[in-house]
Amino acid sequence: MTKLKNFSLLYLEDDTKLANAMIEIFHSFFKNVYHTTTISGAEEILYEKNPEVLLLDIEVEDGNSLKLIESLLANNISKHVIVTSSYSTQAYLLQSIPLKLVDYLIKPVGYKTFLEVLSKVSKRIHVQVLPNGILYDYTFESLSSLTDVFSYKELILLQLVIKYKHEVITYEKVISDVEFDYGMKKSTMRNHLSNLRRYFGKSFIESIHDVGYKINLPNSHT
Amino acid sequence: MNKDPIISVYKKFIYVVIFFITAISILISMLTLKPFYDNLMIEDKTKYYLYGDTLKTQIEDKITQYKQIANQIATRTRAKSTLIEYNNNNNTINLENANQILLNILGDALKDSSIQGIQRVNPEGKVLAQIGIIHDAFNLENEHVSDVNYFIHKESGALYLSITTPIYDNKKLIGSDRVTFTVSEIENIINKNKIFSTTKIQLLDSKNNALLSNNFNSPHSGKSIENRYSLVDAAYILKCSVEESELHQSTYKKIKEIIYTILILLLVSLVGIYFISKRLLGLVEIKIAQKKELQAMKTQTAKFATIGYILFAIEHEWRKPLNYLSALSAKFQHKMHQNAHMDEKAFHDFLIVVDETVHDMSQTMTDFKQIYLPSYQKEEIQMEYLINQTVEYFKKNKNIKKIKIDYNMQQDKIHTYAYAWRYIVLNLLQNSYEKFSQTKRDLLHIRMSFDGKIFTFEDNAGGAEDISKILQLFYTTKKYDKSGIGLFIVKSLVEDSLAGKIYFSHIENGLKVSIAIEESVK
Repeated sequence: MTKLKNFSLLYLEDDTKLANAMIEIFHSFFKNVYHTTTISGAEEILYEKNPEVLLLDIEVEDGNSLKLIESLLANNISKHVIVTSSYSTQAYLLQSIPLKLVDYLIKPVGYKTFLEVLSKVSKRIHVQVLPNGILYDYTFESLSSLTDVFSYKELILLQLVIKYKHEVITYEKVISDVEFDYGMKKSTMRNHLSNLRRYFGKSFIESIHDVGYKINLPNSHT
Repeated sequence: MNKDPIISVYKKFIYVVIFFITAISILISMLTLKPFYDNLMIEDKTKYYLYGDTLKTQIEDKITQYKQIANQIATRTRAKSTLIEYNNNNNTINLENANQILLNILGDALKDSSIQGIQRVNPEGKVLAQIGIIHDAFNLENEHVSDVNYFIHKESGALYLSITTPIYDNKKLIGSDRVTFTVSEIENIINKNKIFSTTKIQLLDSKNNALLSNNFNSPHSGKSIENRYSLVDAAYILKCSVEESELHQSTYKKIKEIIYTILILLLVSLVGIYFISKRLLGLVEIKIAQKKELQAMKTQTAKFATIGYILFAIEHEWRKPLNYLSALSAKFQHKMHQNAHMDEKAFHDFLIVVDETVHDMSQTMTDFKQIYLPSYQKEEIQMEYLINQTVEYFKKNKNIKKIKIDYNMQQDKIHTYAYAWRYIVLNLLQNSYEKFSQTKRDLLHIRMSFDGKIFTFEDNAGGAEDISKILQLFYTTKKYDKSGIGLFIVKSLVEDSLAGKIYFSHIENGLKVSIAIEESVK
C-alpha cells in the first residue's frame, strides 16, 4: 500500500459533499489527489498532471466517464482505473468489460471495499523506480514521465535493460532485440546510451567491456 | 349491467333483426297466398247452381240460356222460331220440361244441320256440358271427368248419354266412372243401382212422358231426394258441386298448408333468434365483465406502479445521503485505522452530521408518503391549497432562483383524490425541471390554472421530442431516472382516478398539458 505514495489519484465525483469526505482519506494513501466534478476537468488533469490511478464516477453532469476511458485506451494511454456508479445496469457492465478496469464499485462504497480495491491497485502496479524519481511501469511498459524526451528505440533499449536488470546483456541481444542496423551498430547504440545516461546518470547503464551492458538500479523499488 | 350502453345497443340490434325477419316472412306469406286469394275472389257463375233454395231462379236462367242457344241454332239452321214460342206459351215450365223441350228443339234443329254439337262454357272457357251429334256413340275418348253429355244420333235421332261421374265415399272423392249408354241401357243400369247413389233421376221423352224413372235412397242421408232434376241438371249439379268442393277444398287446403308452413317457419326462426340473441347477449355480458375486470386490474396496476415509483423515487432521493453516510463512516474508520487523534469536538461534529443526514432521509420518506401514497378515499380540498403544497415540496432541494411558478386556481373546493393531483402536478413539475436543466436556460417559468373543469400546465422548458410517445410505458429521455413510468402513471391516474383525459401540445418554447375532468366541482 505504501507503494501508492508514489502515485497521484484523479478523483472524478460530482457530489462534492461526498467527495470532500473521501478526499481526506485518499490523501493519506496517494502522493496527490486531484478532484474534479466534470469530464472536461478530468481531461485537463490527465493532460497536466498525468495521474497513474483514476477513480471515476460513471454518471457526471457533462457526460459518461466510460467514454473517457475508451478514448484513453484508443490513444494508448494506460491507467489503473476504478469506476464507481449508483447503477449496475447491464449496458454499463458490458461497456466496461473491454476497459480493463481494476474494479467496478457500486455506491455506496464502504471503507473496507476501498481498502481492498486500493490494495488491489497497489498489487497490480508493478513499477521500477528509476533515478530522479521516474517510474517505469511493468504492467503498461511505460514511464511515468519523460516520454517525449526519448526516441522510440531508446525507450525499447531502456525496457530491455530494465527487463534483464540482474544480468549482463550482450551486444548481440541488444542489436537483435532493438534492431539496430548492422552497418552502424556501435555508434548508434552509443548515441542512444549516452542519451539515456544523460537523464539517469552515468553509472545508470554500466558498460562491461567486450560483453555488453548492465543496469544499476537504486535500491528502492518494489 | 342493464345500463351498459353496449348491452342496450345489442338488444336494439336483436329487436330490429327479429322485426325484419317477421316482416319478411309476412311479406313472403302474403305473396304466396295472393294467387289463391285472387282465385277465391273470381266471380264464378257456375257456383250459383249449387244451392237448392235458389233453384227456381236457376231454372229460369237456364231456360233463358237455352232459349238463346236455341235461337242461335234456329237462326243457323233456319228453323222456325215458333218452336220456342211454344215453350213460352206453356205455363207449366219446370226444369224437367224445359230441358226436354230444349232437347226436342235441339234434336229437331240438329237433325238436318251441319252443326256437330253445342257446348256450354263457363267464363274461363272451361267446358261445363255439351250436346253433340255423333256418328259412333260408343267411341268417345277424352271426356272431362265428372262431365255429362247427351248425344243424339244424326241419322236415327236416338239419344245417347255419356256420364262421367264422381264416386264418393263419405263425402270424399275417391274416383270417377265414365259410361256411354243408350236409353234402354241406362234404364237397365239404373235398375241395378250402379251409377248414382245420391240423386234421383228422371228422363222424359218428347211427349213429356217419363222415359225412365227410379227412386234411390241415399245411403248417407237415409231419405229420398224430392227434387226432380233432369239428367243434365243432376249431372250438372253434381259436376258443379264437385268442382266447387274440389276448388275450395284444394284452395283452402293449400292456403292452410302455406299458413301452417309459414307459422312453423316463423316459430322456428323466432326460437332460433331467441337462442342466438340469448347467446349473443351472454357473450356480450362476458366481454363487458372481462373489460371491467381488465379496467379494475389496470387501476390496481397503476396503484402498484405508483408504489413502485415511490420506491424508485425514494431510492433516488436516498442515494446521495446514503453515499454521504458511507463516506463519513469510511472517514471515521480511516481515522481510527490510522490511530489519528480525534478530539471530542470533531467526534461531536461527526455525529451531528450523521444525525442531520439521517433526519433528512427520514423526512424524505415522510414527504413521499404524504405526497405519493395512494389513498382510497376522495377528499374535499381546495385546488390552490393542493397545488401550493405540491409546489412547496417540489421546491425543496432545487435551485429556487431559477424557477418561477405562477398559478391561478378556482377557489371552490373540489371532491377528488388529492394524492392523484399531487402526483400528477409533481411529476409534470419534475419533468419540466429535468428538461429545463438539460436545455440550460436562465429561468424556468411554469404557469398553472384551473377553472373547475380544465387544469392547464405550461412551461418554457423546450417541450417534448415526441408527444405521441410521452405517455407510453417505459418511454424516457432522462439521464438518471430511467424507469419511464412517471407519465404513464400520470395518464393512468387521470383516466382512472379522476375520470378525465390528458392532452399534450406544443407551445412556444415549451409544452402545454391540459387535463379535462368531468365532474368534481360542488
